[in-house]
Order: sequence, then structure tokens, then C-alpha cells
Amino acid sequence: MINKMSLLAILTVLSLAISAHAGDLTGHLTAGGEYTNLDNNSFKSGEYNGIYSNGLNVIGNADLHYSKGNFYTDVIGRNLGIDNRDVDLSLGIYGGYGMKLSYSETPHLISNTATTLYTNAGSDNLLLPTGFVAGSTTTAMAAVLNANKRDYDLRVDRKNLSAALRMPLKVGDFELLTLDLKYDRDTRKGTKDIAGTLGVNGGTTSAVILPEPVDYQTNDFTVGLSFASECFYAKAEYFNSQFLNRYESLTWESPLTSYNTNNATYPTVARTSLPPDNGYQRYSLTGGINLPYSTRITFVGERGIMEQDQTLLPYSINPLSTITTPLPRNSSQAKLETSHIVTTFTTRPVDEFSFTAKYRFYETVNKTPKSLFQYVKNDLPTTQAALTDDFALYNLPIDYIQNKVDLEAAYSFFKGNILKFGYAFDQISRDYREYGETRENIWKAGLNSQIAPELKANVNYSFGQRKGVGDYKESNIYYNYHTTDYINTVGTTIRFDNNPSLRRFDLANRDKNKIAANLHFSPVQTATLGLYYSYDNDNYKNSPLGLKEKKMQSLTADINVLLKENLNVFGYYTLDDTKALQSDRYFQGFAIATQAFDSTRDWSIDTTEKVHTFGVGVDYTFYEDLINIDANYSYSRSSINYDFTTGSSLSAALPVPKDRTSLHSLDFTTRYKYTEKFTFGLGYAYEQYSSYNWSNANVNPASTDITQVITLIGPSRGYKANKALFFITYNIN
Amino acid sequence: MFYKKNHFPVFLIFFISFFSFSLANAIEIPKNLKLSDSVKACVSCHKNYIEEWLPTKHAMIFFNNPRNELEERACEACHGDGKAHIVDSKAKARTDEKIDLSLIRSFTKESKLPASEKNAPCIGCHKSYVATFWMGSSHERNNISCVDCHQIIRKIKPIKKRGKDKRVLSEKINLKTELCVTCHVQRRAQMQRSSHMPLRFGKLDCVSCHNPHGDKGPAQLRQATVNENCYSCHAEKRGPMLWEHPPVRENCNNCHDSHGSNNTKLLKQKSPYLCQSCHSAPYHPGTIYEGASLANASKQMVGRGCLNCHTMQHGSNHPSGARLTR
Repeated sequence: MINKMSLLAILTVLSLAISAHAGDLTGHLTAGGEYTNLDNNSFKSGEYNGIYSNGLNVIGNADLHYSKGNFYTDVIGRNLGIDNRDVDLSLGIYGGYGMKLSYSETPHLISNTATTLYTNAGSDNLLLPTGFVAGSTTTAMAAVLNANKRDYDLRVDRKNLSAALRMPLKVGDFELLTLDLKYDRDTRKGTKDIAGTLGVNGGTTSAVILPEPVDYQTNDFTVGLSFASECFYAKAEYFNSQFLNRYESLTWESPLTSYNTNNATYPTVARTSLPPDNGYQRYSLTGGINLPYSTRITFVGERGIMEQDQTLLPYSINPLSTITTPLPRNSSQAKLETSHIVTTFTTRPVDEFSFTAKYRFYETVNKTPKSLFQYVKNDLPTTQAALTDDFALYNLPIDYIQNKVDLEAAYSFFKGNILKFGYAFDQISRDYREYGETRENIWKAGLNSQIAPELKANVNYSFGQRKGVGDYKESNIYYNYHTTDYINTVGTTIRFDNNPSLRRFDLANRDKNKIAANLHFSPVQTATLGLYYSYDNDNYKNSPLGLKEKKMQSLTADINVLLKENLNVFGYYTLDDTKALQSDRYFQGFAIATQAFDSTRDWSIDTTEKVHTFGVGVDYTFYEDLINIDANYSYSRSSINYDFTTGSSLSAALPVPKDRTSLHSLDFTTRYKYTEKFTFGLGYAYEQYSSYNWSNANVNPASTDITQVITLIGPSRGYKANKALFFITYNIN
Repeated sequence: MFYKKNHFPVFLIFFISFFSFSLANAIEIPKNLKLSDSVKACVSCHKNYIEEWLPTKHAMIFFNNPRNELEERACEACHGDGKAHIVDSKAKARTDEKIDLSLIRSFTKESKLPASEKNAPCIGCHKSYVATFWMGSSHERNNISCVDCHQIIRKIKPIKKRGKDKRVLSEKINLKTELCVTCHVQRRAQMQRSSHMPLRFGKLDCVSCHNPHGDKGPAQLRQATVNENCYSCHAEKRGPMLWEHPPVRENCNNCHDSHGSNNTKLLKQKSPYLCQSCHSAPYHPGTIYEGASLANASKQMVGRGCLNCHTMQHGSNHPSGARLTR
């Protein structure tokens, strides 16, 4: 509240100060209110503005520009009365120095259907109610859950403050150098959800979803010095970012005991890590050189260091855990160095021809020490992993290097027609991945055509073929991840963690086809009809398991008509159609040697998502420009269908319902220009949102709905919102 | 709860204070403004335009603080030498004949100049800072001209919105975003999806991540990679972590669709299927989660799905966090 009050006070003082020189002030001020009526207090309705309940909210906008000679000051304020306010203050000399101060608030309302068992949600040491009796499953402790759960809203509020200065520096008689300084502070406070996991393995593990306290602060500082002459520009910049999390971990009392008698007893208190403090520094040099024949060379050279050296938590906080081998080091010592080089050569020696060549190099070098962690599963009262266990593991300092060359030539012929051809080669090498290297060749062609003065068409096509170099080897990870002692206990044919037939889609062999086409038809100058089509197909044809194909198509029709000088109408319809086909294999540990290689145990899921989006709008100014009506309506409806297929060794799959979402939005505003200085406005908005997502549709928070999970968040609430708006705008000039 | 915000009185003071001061008259060309002969010639026909242009940053610099000879030429700095245009206009003043726009650099819709010609005067000055990478950028190569997006002649931010500029209360999509989606129509539809960034609420805009003038990253991103772009707001994901999740470290877009999704948290596919597209191991990672599992409320399928337990999917810093559960 202090911040809000201070902000408004500053604005008031500023307005009074400026008023002393009001002769050069322009802009407008708007004040009013919006009354919101909701059928239920759904957080979704105010997800990023904080308005989720009935009531009047004060709305104020300011857009003020003051200048005197070369000096200028701009003040822009948005949504000053509500929780997602912004204020920008800029001042400086035209063609000279400039300063900008910005303040912004953004709420993120996550859930107000959450209930938790913890008495002090928001803390980093979560406590159960006194006398709480833990149980083995939610079913077994139904009464306890009911008696102890309490409502708790999850939201994270973000505040951002930034200050920037640009100052030209004189060198002799020339202003060739410019200094840029920027400071940015971003804070986030609130709670979100995180899982607290208990147990030994996938079958016997239980979980309680916890309210995670959020108290982040990120401080970014940038200083840059640039040199600009007639044909050469260069900028050297240093960037430093420090992320601080007030909470290093989350400790919580366990409401669950043990899933079954074969399972180790769960700890009474457990601990989870939270995002660690980290820092990032980057040095960069960017610039461009102009050469004859409309030729330009630009360059980017960057060197970055990401570091994270948080003190490591213990393997377990359970005093009953037996730790004989200490941590290999006391802190993370995580360090990632990045290098980035981009050079672009572009030329247009004659009006009809242009050519662009681009080279990109990006490298991450992970200098985090690779160490063996003989860990304890989920704070269990057990002995830490022995060297022969599958949970004595090495952390893998993954990194990658990308080299990419991109060439494109364009030729103009006749009038307004451009033919384009391009080729790109993208090579990425990676450590600790199944392919050490992938290479992709991409061919591109395009045509921009002015078929007739009123008809324009563009079509672009590209085909990319990505292939791994050598064989896809899951063992590249396996043999680095596990200890030799453990590997020696495993049969030679089953030394893998992930089924060797699966191809991870981010590096699997892939054929990629992309088409983008659009047509613009303007039969008269005041009307435009646009048709847009895009097709994007990723075919992983050599992947026996994993993502096999993803196909996205989108079609849009868009019309915009200026019926008369002050009457503009528009409408659009978009159909997005996405299909994804993936497969997997069900195999069990005791029969891994046979089942893992048995394709009759395969199953697949075909996901089809269709989204229809429709919108219309009108903007009409009439009655001698005194009245303006602005109305917009949009409707979006989606459905996601899941189809399963199973191999002959598996039972037939039962269907699952479709996921559905719909959103209606109507927004109507009318303004009456009462005088040159005053405009009055009234508005009405309606929004209706509903969704069905089978993941959480029937899962109530802290209930018996999932036997082994005490949930936190309930289903997202749909809503119907009616909003009435009134405002007055004071125009200056 | 009629007045939800108790700082309303302060806001009122702020507002009233603005009403209390004297106000300027409508913009007109100040008599003391030194106009060159060429500008005077422009004013004789285009007075209204020039009056609208006067409060803009360009005009302020050109008239008050010109930094070179080109800027001193004011109108001609961008439109080129106007002599032939003046002769042509005068000759046709009393006829129905159309003025020959090829005699002056015109930026109107009727102008037949190619985009590169329209852009030439802009790029002549704006070849550094934000426009360093314009030449060779995706928009430049697709013949987008500066005036397709920018409106130089008017005060207020020089951004066009469906052919006109306007300021509205409670803008759901701010001006920059609305401008971009006139061409990137699929993004307009994506922003309506249930999981989205706060663009619809007027927070963030397309240019928060992308530089339409070209930049150092792929897809005109402001940072070197998708991830570095995401870290600029989500520094808590930056790490590096003790236990990395490889596809996460390489590209956030492997799992997320930053422009909007109907799956939670902008995910491209819902859990468990998203996870299963990469993970096939004995028992639960390779299990088919279908209608029967849903009826039994399988912990790997409902609620947060895999994330009911593997909560550290962005990487873990716990020494016992190899399986991303801590």
C-alpha cells in the first residue's frame, strides 16, 4: 500500500510541477471506475489484473507530454487504480540525453480453489496442525483430511522498477559516443505449488502438493558505450544479473506415513530444494558497417557466465537416514559459460537483387564438476545409495554447440514480384546426449507476388532434414550417469535407463515441411480481405518409439472494411488444427530383457486439437465527431481429443473424455466528446470462460480423489463476468 | 465492497490538480519558429499535416536541435528535394489531373515506391541502436516498410493501429501487440487460449521478447537464445543446476508454447504424454494412461500428472534430486 500511495503522491507532485509550465503540456487524463459482477470469485477472471470479485475498481490513465524548447517530459500511467498498474516517466533533451523511470505491478492469480493441511502456508517450514494423525493413503485418512484442510489462495505478485539513462558524450566537436545505463529490479512475492515427494519408486511413492513460498528478487544492471559514425556503429555492453531467493529450501511435515508394508516408512519431516541464488554476467560487442552497394555487415560477439554456488542441502534431513559417504562438495559450483557470435552480410547491389548470408555460433560450456552423488531417496530412513545401486549417480554437466549458416537470395522481377531462395545448415553437437551431433539441411523458396494492383499473394516453403551423426546411443548417457559398480551388476543387453528404441524428439531424425501462404485482396481502397494458411509438419519417421509426427495447420480469414470515413468494421476467423502422434512401450523391470524389445507391447496416442477463434469489431465516430463507439466480440473454442491404440500384448485402452475450453469476450465502449477538453465514456464488457480438463476436473484439493497424492489445487473455476465502465477524459490540447 | 481501493482520495487529488492549471491552445505553427524557404513552401499546401507533425520527436529535433545539415532540411530530410513536386503541383492545381507522386518521396499507400526506397531515409539515420540488425532481418527481407508500422506525422507513440492511432481505456491488447497480430494472425488466436502470458491484460507485448527490427537471436528475439530470453523474466530457472534436465537447458520451447496453449503452463502437450514422448522406462514411464487409469485416478495421470512427484522438471539443486523429485 505504501508503494501505491507513494506512486500516486509522486504523480500528484509531478502534475503540479508540470502545471507551472502548462503552456507546453499535451495529452490526456482519464479517471473512472469499472464495476465488476462475477457469478463466482474465479481467480481465472482476474489472472493478471487482480480483479476476481464483485465491486468497484478505480481506473486512472494518464498520458502527458510536456516540452519546452528541446526539453521534454512524458508521463504515462495505466490502470493506476488496480493491481496491474504501470507508470513511466521519461525526460530529456530531443536529440540529446534521455532518462526513463518505470514502475510496474503484475499480479498472477494462480488458484483460489486451493486447500492445504498446513497451518502456516507461505512459510518455508510447513507445519501440520497440532495432533495431526498421519496416514498411509488419502483414503485411509479421509476424516483427518476433512477435519484439517483450510482454504489458501495461491498468487504471486510481481513488482518491477527500472531506471535508464542515455547520454551522448562529446568528443571534440562530435557527439559520436553514447553512454547507456540501466538498472532493473524485479521482485516477486507470494505462493505457488510444488510437490513434496515421498517413497521409494513409482509404484509406492506418495506425494503431498505444497504451497511453495516465493520471495524472489532479481537485480539487473547494464552499462553500454556505443560509437556511431556515418557508416560504422559499435556498442560494447556489460550486463550483470543477480537472482536472490529468500528461501533456499522448503521443509515440511509429512502427513503420510508409508504406502504399504513393503515400503520404507516415510520421514516425518522432509525437505525440498527451491530455486537457488544465481548470477549471470555478459560482455558483448555488437555493431554494423555500411559498405557501398547497399551492403551492410553486422556482428555480435558475446561472452556470458552463469554461476550458481548455493550451499548444498544434506542428502537427507531424516536423522534415521544412514550417511556414510559425505557429499562430494559443499556447494553446487555450477558454472556455465556461453559464447555467441553472429555475423550477417547483406547486400542489394541492384534494386532487383538482394543477398543475405548469416553465420551463428552459440556455445555453452558447462564447467560444473561431475561428481558422484550416493543419494538418499526422498528423505527415507534408509542407508544412502551404495556404489552398486542405481541411485548412486553422477551429475552430468550437459552443454552444446551450435553452428548455423543461413543464405538467402531474392530477385525482383516485373513489378512487385519477388522470388526468394534460401539454404541453411544447422549443426549442433552435444555432450551426454544420445546423438553426439545432429546436422540439418534446410532448403527454402518463396514468392511474393503483386498479381494485380488489388491482389497480393505470398507463399513460402521450406524443407528441412535433420539427421544424427552415427548411431542413436542411449548408452552415451547411461555409462556416464551410473557407476561402473552398478553397471557391472546389470546384464549387458539391458544396460539402459530409457528404452533404446525411443528417439527423443529434440534430436531425433526429422523431416520438416513448412508452408506459409497468404492472399490480400483489396477490391477498393477501403476494404481488405486477407486469407492466411500455414502448415508445419515434423515427421520423425525413423523413431520406433517417441514422438512420431506433429502436424499443425492454421487457416485464417480476415476482413477489414472502412464503410465510410469514420466507420471501420472488421472480422476474422481462425481454425488451428494440431495433430500429434506418439508411441511408447510398456515393459516391466522383472521381464525387461524380453518386454523392452517386444513391439506387441507398444501403444500409441493420437492427440488432435482443434481451436476455432472468431472475432468481429466496429469502430464508429459520428455526430460531427462527437460520439465514438468501439465494440469488439471474440469467441474461442477448443477441443482436444485423445485416441489410443494398443499392441496385441496389451489390454485394449478405454477412451478418455475430450478436454474443452471456451472464452467469449464482448467489449463495448462509447465516448462522447462533450467539449474539446472533456470526453465522457461508458462501457460494458462481458466475459464467459469455461473449461473441462480431465486432469483435474474430478480432483478436489486435499481429498481422497487420488489415493497416493494429497492435492492442493482444485479445478479451475469457469466464470461469467459483467463489467460496467464509466470514465471522464480530460484532453489537454 | 463499493470502494475497494482506499487510495482513491489521493488519486482524486492527483486528478484535480491537473484540472487546476491553465491550458494550451490547439497546436499551430509558432510565429517565432524559423522556417527555411523550402519548409515554407511545404506549409503553403500541407499546413495541417505540419501542424500535426510539430509536436513529434522528429519535428522537435529538426526544428529545435538539428544535429546535421540533413535534419536542418526538415520536410526534405525524408521527402527529398521538393522543387519538382512544387512545380508539378502548381501546374495541376486548377485541373483534375493527379499529382505525380514519383516526383517526391511519398510514403502514402498510393506511392509506388518499393519498400527499400521508402525505408532509405529512415535507415539513413536509424542504422544503429534498435535498428542495427534491420538490414537482413526477416521483416526487411519480406519488404516491410517502416511506415507499414510507424506513423511519423503524429504525436503519441508513432505506432499505427488499424490505420489510425487511438488510446483506449482498459486496453486489453496494447497497441504494439495489436499491430503485430494484423499480420501474425495465428498469434491473435493463440492469445485467446486458456494458458497465456499477460498480453491480453496489457502487460508485456510482442516487443518484450522480439525486436521487429531484427536482433541477435533466432526469430528476432532480443536475446541470443530462446532460453536467455525466458531467463530475462524467469531468472529462477536460470541456474545452472546441479541436476540438469537436458531439453530444458537447451530450449524452453521444447515443452512450452510461449504464444498460448490450452494445456496448463503453456505446455505443448499435457502430462503425462508430454513426458512420455521422451521417457520410456520400466513400469510407470512406459505405462499407457487411458480411460481405466483415469477412472482409478492414477497419480501419474491426474492432478499434476508426472509432476505430482517429479516436480523439479527445470532442474534440481538437491544432492538427492537426480530424479527431479527434490
